[in-house]
Amino acid sequence: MSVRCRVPEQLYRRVREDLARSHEFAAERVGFLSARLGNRVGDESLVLFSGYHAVPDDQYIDDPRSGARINATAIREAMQRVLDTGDGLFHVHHHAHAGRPGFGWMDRRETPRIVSSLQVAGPDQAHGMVLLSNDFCIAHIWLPRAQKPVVAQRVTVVGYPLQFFDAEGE
Amino acid sequence: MPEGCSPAQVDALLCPTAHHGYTSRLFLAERISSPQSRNWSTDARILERTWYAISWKFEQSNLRLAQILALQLRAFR
Amino acid sequence: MTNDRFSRQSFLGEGAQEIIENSIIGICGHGGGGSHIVQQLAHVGFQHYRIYDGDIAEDSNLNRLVGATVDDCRRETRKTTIAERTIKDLQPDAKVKVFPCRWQDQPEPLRGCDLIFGCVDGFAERRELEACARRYLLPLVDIGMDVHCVENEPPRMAGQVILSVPGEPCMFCLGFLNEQVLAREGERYGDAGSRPQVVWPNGVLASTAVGIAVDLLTDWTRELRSVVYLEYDGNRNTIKPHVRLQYLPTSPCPHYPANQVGDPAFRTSMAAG
Repeated sequence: MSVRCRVPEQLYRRVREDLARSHEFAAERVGFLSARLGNRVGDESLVLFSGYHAVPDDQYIDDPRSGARINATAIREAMQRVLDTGDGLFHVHHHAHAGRPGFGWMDRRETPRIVSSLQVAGPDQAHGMVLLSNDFCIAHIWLPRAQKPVVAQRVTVVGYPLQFFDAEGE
Repeated sequence: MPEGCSPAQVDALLCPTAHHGYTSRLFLAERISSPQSRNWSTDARILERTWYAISWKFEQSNLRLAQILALQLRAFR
Repeated sequence: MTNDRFSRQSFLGEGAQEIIENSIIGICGHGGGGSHIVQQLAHVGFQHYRIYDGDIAEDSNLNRLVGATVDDCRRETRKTTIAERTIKDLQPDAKVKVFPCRWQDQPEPLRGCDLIFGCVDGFAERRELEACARRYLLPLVDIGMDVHCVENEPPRMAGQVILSVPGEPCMFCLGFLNEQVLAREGERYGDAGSRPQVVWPNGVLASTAVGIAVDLLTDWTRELRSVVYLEYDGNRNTIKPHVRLQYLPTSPCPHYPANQVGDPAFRTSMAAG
């Protein structure tokens, strides 16, 4: 089973522009990408990103141990969005360096808890987390009802030109 | 579906507005058999499924949705 | 593959050949246009193909079906078999999946592609293919040609190459598809009939389409930054941007909203009383 992600270029640019904005105290910004699952039948699933929702400035927690922490209101609103739209949601943030990024220990500890909440709200869609660097993109996907994520085999930015970000070893 | 059709129950999509030369169209998930044989003139892919429609036209100015549907189903009696 | 084979196309840029070799290409229709495209993709070095065509080779195809032989017609060889043979003769290790049917009958592999070529007949077929491409965020390169017989005048040969990228103007935005042409085609019960077809305009259109696809994948020109709609005049032997490109709306494509992606699902809602 392989999972690939696709995002339209205009959306990708919008995400990058928003995440690049500075915040009063958070070192990083966070947002949520809406997504729908495609090709559920078969062994080549697709996650198709369709929209972006920035986390408002007042929904961050001032935590010096973390690049960015969002509060319960942000998570509740994300869950409500899942309920309202039936979309999946992907937590997205940016690490300011070049090359393939990696989820830090805080990301790996905290974000899956957010994903679990999203799964409760929308068990039939895929949810997960996306991480950008200055020039790369990776995604971890929890397929419907999955306990553990899979790594996106490829993330494609669909525009002029096509940009491919392949998982390590691909 | 009207009596005499087989299968008796089928998924359907009603397009109540102009579609490719028809004022309305009833798409069915499969080509059914009916008391009157009909010309299944259209296979269409809508919402990632293939749907089938017969060639059937009628005047439908100022009709409500239920009336349009009833007139579409009349073709299968 | 040896470095020599593609040394002459190193101008495509560092990493370009790897992108080409790792891209999954879908081709809907292996007729006059599709057969040219398949041959050229194999020459360029593409390794992953998904090809759809439900037909067999017939005598009437031989004036334009690249790779088909007299023997193929005698044996009623499937067009997809010819496609696979064409590719494997140039790229023995290529992964070729063939589907001797319409793409609509087995759409899942097509959705898994990175880019698709539409070499289908008719406006309704193009509408359906573009709708799928938009829903699954696939870039689509469409080609087609026609010969119109005009009373007391020489026939008019015309064609098009369109690059349709999700989020960008679609074939409806470009005016290539509209309700009128779809209605006219519907009234003929979608029968494209025995339309005039010859090899050389297919070659022009297919070559252009392959060039656009390679550029979209490798960005070797660094110039491809917007929708492509080229019109081919077979009488004057020209291919140039369609005049309609000057009148495109600046707003996003309204025909395929950004949130209409993925497998469709019905949601019922209760209106507030």
